[in-house]
Amino acid sequence: MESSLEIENPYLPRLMKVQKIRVETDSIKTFEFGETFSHIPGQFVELSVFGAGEVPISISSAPPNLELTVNRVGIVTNAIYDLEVGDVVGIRGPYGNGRPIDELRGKNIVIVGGGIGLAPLRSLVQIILSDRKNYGKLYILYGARTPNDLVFKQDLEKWSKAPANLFVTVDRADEHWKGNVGVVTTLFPKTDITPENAIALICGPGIMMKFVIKSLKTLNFEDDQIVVSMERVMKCGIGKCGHCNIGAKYVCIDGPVFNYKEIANIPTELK
Amino acid sequence: MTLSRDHMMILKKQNVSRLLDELRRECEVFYPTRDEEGIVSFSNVGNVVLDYSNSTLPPKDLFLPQTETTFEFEKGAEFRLQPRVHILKRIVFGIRPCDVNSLILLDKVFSGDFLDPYYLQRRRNTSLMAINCSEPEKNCFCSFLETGPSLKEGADIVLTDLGDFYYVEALTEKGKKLVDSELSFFEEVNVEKEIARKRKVEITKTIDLKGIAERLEKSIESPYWSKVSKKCLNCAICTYLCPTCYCFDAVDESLDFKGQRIRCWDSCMFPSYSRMAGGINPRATKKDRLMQRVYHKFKYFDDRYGNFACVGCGRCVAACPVNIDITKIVSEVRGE
Repeated sequence: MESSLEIENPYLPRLMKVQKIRVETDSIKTFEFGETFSHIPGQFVELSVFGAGEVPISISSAPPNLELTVNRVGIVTNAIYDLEVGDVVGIRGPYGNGRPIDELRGKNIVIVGGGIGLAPLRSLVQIILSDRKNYGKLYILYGARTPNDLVFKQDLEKWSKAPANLFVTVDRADEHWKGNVGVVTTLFPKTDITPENAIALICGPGIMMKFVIKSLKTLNFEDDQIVVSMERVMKCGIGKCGHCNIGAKYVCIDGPVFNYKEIANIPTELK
Repeated sequence: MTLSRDHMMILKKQNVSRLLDELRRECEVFYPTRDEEGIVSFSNVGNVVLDYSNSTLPPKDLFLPQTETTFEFEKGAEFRLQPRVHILKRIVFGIRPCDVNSLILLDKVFSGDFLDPYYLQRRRNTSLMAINCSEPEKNCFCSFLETGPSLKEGADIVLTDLGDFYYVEALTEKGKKLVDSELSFFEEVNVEKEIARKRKVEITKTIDLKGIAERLEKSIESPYWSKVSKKCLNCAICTYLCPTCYCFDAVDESLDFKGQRIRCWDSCMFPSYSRMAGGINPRATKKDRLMQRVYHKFKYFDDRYGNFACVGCGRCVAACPVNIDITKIVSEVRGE
C-alpha cells in the first residue's frame, strides 16, 4: 500500500563540528573542520546553521582539509560569523564543477582575486605551490578595498616568498600601508603577463571581474583563456531550486567555474 | 481513442462520487472541487465537480507543495536531523492532459544526477486518473505544445467525456489493476460508433513557436522587452499558477532547540529571488525578470531538458492583472 523510495536524501546535511576559527578581517572569518574532505578547487558546500538557514560557501582550502571563509553580509552568514569552536553545523557537498587542474598543468597561471573572492582561488594556489614544477609562471594579483579587508594575510606573506609573482593592492590605503594603491586592474602594467600558454582565473565582485576581463583582453587573452568563478543565490546546490541560472546554465551544477566563453554573450551577468 | 471495438469500458458520471468514496477506503483521493467563489482546485474533501474546463489552480502542489518541511532538527545534547518524506498512497482524479504533461516536465527537474526524494516519492505513490478535455477555455493553447486536449500517455487511466458517461482507457498496469479492483463501478457496453466518436475539440488561441530559440537568441538586446514588461506588476500570479514552474526557496524555522527546514515556492518575478546577500541583484529590473520567465520557458528549459517549460494551459494569460500574454510575446518577438 505504501512504497518507500530507497534513495539518498541530498537535502540532508552531514553534521560537523567547528574545530578552529581564524579571524581574517572585521567581517570575515575562516572556519576549519577537522574532517577530511575530498573536493576539487573551486567547488563549494552548502553550509547550514540550523535555525538560521543554509548558504553556498566556496571551499578555501586544498583537499583533504575543509576550510570555509565567510563574510557576514546576510542573516545566515551573520549566524556563521557568530559560531564558536565546537558548534555543530550542517554541510552538504562538495558541489559544482571546480577548476580543471589537469588543463592547468604546464601552463602559466594568472590568478586574480578581489576581496573575499580570493577564497576559492586559495585552494588552487596551495595545490600549485605544492606541485610547483608542473606549472609555468604563477602570477597572483590580489586587491581589496582597504588593508583591513585583505584576507589570508599569513598566506600572502608565505606566497610573497614562494616561487610566485604576488602583487597586492588596496583601493584606499591607511597610514601603515606601503604597497600599491588602486583597483586590481592597475596591477597589470606592473607585471610581464602575456597570453602565451597562459590561463587566467578570476574571482571577485561582478564589476571587478568585468574590468579584469577587459584588461586581459587588452593583453590579447582570448575568451577561452579566461576562467571565472560566479556567485548567485542558491537554495539547493543541486540544480533543482532554479535560482542560480545564468542563461541555460546553473551556477551550482554547471559552474561555479565557467570558461568566460560560455557566458560572454549574456549581457546582464557580470554586474 | 480507439473506436474500432464495439465493446468499451465506461464509467457513468453518476457513479463518479461513489467510486471516489470507495477508493478513499484504500488511499488519499484528490479530485476537482469548487469553492463559493468559483475557484476550482484539487482537494480530498468536499463535493467533486465534473463541469470544469480546467482547475483554476493546477494540481502541482500535490507533488511540490507550496510549503513543506524537508527535515526537522533538534539541537539538544545529541544533535538530530529527521527527514519528512511523504509516503501515503494517493489517487488524483480529474487531472487534465496539460497538467499531466507538466508533471512529466517536473519529473525531469526532480530526477537526474540528484534525485529529489520529496517530489519523487509523491509521484511514485500517486496514480493519475486523467480526463481528456472536451471544452477548453478561450486561453488554452495546449494543441500547439502537443500536451492536449487529449492524452496518450502520462496518466494511469484516461477518461473521455461522452455525455452521461466517460469512456475509460487504462494506460498502465497500475491503471488496469485499479479498474479491475473497482470493476463494479465500470461497465462494459456496446456503444454505437457515432455516439462514441470523440467530439471535435476547438482550440482557438494560437502561439507561433516557429524558430523561437533563434528568435529569442537574437532578441537579448531588443528594446521589445522594455516595452512589453513596462506594465508588469511583478505580482507573480503567472508563476504561482503555472503547472511547470518549480522554483523554491528554503528557510529555517526554529524555537529554542527544535526547528525545521522548510521549502516553499519562490518566483523569478520577485526582485528578491535573485538578490544576493550584500545587495547585488543580477536581475534587478522587471525587464530582466520578464525576460527570464520567457527565456526559461521557451529556451533555457529546452536547452537543458529538450522541452518547452509550457504546457499551454493558459492560466498565466487568464490571470495576469495587466494582460501580459506569453503567447503574444512568443509569437511576436523578432529580435528587433
